[in-house]
Amino acid sequence: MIRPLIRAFHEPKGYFFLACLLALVFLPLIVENPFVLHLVIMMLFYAALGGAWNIIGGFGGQLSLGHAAFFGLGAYTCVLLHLYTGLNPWAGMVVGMVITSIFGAAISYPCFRLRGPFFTLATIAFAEVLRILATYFKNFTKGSTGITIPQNMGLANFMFKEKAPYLYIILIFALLVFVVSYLIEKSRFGYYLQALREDEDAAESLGINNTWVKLKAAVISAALTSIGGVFYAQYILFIEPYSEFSLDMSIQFALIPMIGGMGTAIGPIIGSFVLTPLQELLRSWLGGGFAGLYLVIYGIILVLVVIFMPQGILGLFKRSESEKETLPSGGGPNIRP
Amino acid sequence: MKRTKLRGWIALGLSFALLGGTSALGQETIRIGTLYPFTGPLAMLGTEEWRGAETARVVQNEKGGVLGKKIEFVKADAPDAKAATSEAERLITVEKVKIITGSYSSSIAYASTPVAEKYQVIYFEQGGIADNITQRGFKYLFRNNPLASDFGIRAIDLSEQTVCPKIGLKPANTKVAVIYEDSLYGTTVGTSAVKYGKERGFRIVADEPYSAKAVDLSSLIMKLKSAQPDILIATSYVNDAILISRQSKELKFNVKEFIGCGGGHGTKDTADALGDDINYIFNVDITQPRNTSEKFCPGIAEYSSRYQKIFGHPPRSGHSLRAYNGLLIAWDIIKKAGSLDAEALRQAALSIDIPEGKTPTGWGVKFAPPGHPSMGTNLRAKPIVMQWFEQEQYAVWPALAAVKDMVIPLPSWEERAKGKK
Repeated sequence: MIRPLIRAFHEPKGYFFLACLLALVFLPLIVENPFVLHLVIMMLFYAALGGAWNIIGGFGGQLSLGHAAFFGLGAYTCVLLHLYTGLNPWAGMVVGMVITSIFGAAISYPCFRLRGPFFTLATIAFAEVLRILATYFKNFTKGSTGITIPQNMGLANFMFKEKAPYLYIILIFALLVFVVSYLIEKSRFGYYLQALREDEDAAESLGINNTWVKLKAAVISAALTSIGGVFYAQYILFIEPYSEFSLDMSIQFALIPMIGGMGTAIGPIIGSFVLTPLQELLRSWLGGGFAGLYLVIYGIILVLVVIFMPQGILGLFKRSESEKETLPSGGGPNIRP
Repeated sequence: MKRTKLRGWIALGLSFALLGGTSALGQETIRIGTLYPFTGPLAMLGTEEWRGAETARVVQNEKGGVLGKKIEFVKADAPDAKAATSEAERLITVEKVKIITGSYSSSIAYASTPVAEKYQVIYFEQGGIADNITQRGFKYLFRNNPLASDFGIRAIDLSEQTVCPKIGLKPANTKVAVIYEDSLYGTTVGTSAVKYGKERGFRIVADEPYSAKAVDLSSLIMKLKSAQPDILIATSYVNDAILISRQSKELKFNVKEFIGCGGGHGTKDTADALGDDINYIFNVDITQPRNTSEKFCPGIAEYSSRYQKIFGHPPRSGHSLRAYNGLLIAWDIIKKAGSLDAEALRQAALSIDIPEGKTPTGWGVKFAPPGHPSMGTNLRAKPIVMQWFEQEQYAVWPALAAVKDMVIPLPSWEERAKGKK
């Protein structure tokens, strides 16, 4: 199973990937500015969460607009356990993954037996319900006041004063999501997913158990998303229902792979590395002068990408690569119209 | 693939260029970061509050600035809590500001202030009202505005000291219903009214949170109707405030007194939607730039005219006034400290002592000293009480601020609809 991954590193793009990885590893040693580190952390954070969404949304073609539910559920499970039982956040993360997987399966199973927009609607509703519950059970979740995580720095508590440890943790997490996605992309399971995305009836007639395959992808995606929720809670050290379970968050998770390239392992990384800095820099350059102008520009860029690159940024390169491959090898100059 | 990776790096490179470009500036001016929601759902009042700060800056610069230097603002847009943390980080590490002011909303203040604390940068908060913002033991955070719990306390004070005697009841026989929208703002105000009301011996007959996004509150009104409260204390945003009044009228739910706590009960939009139905409702709110006595708020008229001159229209709400007021105090603190050193500024802020009725909002200034559970919050900022007359609100309490006499009890819906003036 690992073989395709190793093979990938024998190609030039594998080297490039490794070089970028090394650069990220050494970045905190060279750059001291916390804002730049924060930016890189957010880039990796959205790359990882876009990647987690991509497993069910991209490979499986099941549009979820409620991944914030899994995100918030992971965060709340971990923080509440830490608060009430003193459970270590790392262990809380595992518990969160288990709980989120169960919820993910419970919400997905009935929807995946149906055709149509039910999964999308159910995920949105699920996130809303969780937000309302988190607001309602004030005595337990502190309601809309939110929970401040008591500061107690150290690796064991998943809490650091510096940005560098967060950067390494999110880097490892983003890599994990990438490896999982890459293995899915190259595996039989991934082909099943892509087959049913293209045509459910055809896939079923080939003997694929559609519901089971989708369910598996949804559970993997939900579990990975919950890790992201825990990371975010430990990074900001504050959670509250409105931001944890927000629809904006869910849309952002879906937008990143859409712009980068859906249904590929590398797509969400490209999407996040382009969109996240773009958003932050546009805001810092234009946010002060003309209120809202940066949002207009950001919106226009998104619209243009969707119109001219429907396959995402990656699609642009995919197409030229496949054109190259169809050219006869060694047959004269590489002429393009 | 290579090229796309490169884009990420180009963008990163550009951010470095940005760092180099901006950090060299600003030796002759005092640079202050202003962190406000200029876009998104909070933008309208966020911008309004910033305008108050801008007015204070222009006024002070005309007097020659502070410490012999002109004041310059560095604007940062924080539409939500996530953006607030990154923008605070940017203001401090990239723009190198030594003072930040903001932030209109509690959730933004809650997220941005820990960043400033970490870098030991002074943060003058003008708008976030949630009590817990200053309950985290931050040394460099100073909040000028009243707390959310003060609104609940004021509402109960008003009930006890003026409403009860007028309607001839003792607190122990007075039934009070408290309703509030269920986000951070409503919850803190509402729970404080309940807690304080119980302490004062009122009979709390309803303690009901509801969602501000609701499109029908008739079940809530019916519940209240069966509880038969004498006084209703409501904390709402605009749409739900309108809905509560409209549906109360439809369902003929009358109370002896209705007390709104800021938000939707104090905006022109609500008055426009409700017409005469808003008359005689009480509103516990921050000091408004209109219809408040100059005796209580010296400088309030000057403020309005300065604002009008800069922005071409009169101040829209009290949000700008409180930021103006807060920054006038900030200039005093900087002058007193004599430098922008965080420790000197902190000591200067702690030593400020202004009694009530001497500033444009009427609020006194005394920041809670170290060791206080709410260290850094202004203990003398208290909301005032207004009442609606002919779709316009006027200060009625405390007496020094009042420009009209209050009318108690609340006339019934029919009487209000007849236009009884």
